[in-house]
Amino acid sequence: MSNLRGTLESISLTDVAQLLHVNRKTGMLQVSSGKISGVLYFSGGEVIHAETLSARGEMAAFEILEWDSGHFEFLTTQVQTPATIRRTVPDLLMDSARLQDSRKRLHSIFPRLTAVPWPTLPAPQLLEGIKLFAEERKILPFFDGYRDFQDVMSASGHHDVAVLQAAAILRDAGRLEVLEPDAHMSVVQMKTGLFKKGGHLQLPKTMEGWWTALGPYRHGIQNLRVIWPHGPAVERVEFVSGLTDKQVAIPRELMQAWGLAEGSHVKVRPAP
Amino acid sequence: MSTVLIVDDDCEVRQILREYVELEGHRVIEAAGSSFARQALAQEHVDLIFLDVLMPGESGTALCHSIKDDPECQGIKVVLLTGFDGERAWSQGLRSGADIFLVKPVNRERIKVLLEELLTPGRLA
Repeated sequence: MSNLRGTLESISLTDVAQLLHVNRKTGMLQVSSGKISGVLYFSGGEVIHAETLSARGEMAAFEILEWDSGHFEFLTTQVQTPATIRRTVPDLLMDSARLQDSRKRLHSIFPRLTAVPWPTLPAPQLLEGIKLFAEERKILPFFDGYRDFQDVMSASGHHDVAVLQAAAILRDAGRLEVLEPDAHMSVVQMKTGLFKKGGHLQLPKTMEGWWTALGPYRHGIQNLRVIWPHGPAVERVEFVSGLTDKQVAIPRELMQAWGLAEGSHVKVRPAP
Repeated sequence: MSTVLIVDDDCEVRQILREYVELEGHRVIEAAGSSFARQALAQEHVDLIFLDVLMPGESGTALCHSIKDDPECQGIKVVLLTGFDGERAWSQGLRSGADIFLVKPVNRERIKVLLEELLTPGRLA
């Protein structure tokens, strides 16, 4: 049975959660926001479980509570899902507010998630005198100078606040640089011939000079990550003369496979 | 019809809230501060209070604590309102004992849902 529904533009989920809490409701609060959706499970007015496409438990609850557009509907029904959340609604809302404050602060420190974090010290010295939680320590191996913040999140399975918090602690200790190695390039078809094979991409030598001045790439760059609307790919790269500063030469076969035409734009950065 | 007490030092906020509450068919009493609110509570039967956190003199949070500690006020629902978001505001609001902590701005739909759910909680049973 559906009892309470509305739009998040009119009433916030924190209001709805508090109302369900104060009225000790049991049922499912289904929420959709654009293309994403999630469910908060209530039992006796407490949130006992939450699910989104990408998370379960508390993290899913925090994710849902941040949505400020879309629709919600509460269905009074028996809830038989196992409890993954064992804190009161006020505690959950307080932590949600804390998380949102942290997110705002960290995103102002690291405004671009396409930036690449790079620790400036090797692993043993990196943590000397620094306090990091065990969960934050698990993130550090993903700061390899090639992955950007978004890559670190998906590879480590940690959310933005955890990843950016670990980066902020290292940065405050002067042990992390944040690089922006992405370059926007215009695609030209690589000239291949009888003696020139096209098994790699070509970039102008100026790019090599620019990148190898950055810490993680100083020993040379063999591979290139190419990002375009239909997906990323990693290919071998050769730095050559004869290309203009903003051109990447791609073999015809790859251009066809990737659906790229001459003059289209891609983003490139060194890859391991 | 229920009686709703609106406590806010900002007369514009009181006026907006009065309009929304009256549109839902409830009676409204206004108070510009905590002392007026205490007088109203002593003289009138009140079902729900909209209470601003930040007011000159006694704060809404302090008044909320007294209301919730007073056995004679048992059953009065308190909605605490604030203009501030963030951890500190939420921590203060949720620890005040209020039934609902609400970050402004308010709109008619929001007030309508709050009144429906708080004044007729059995509706969802």
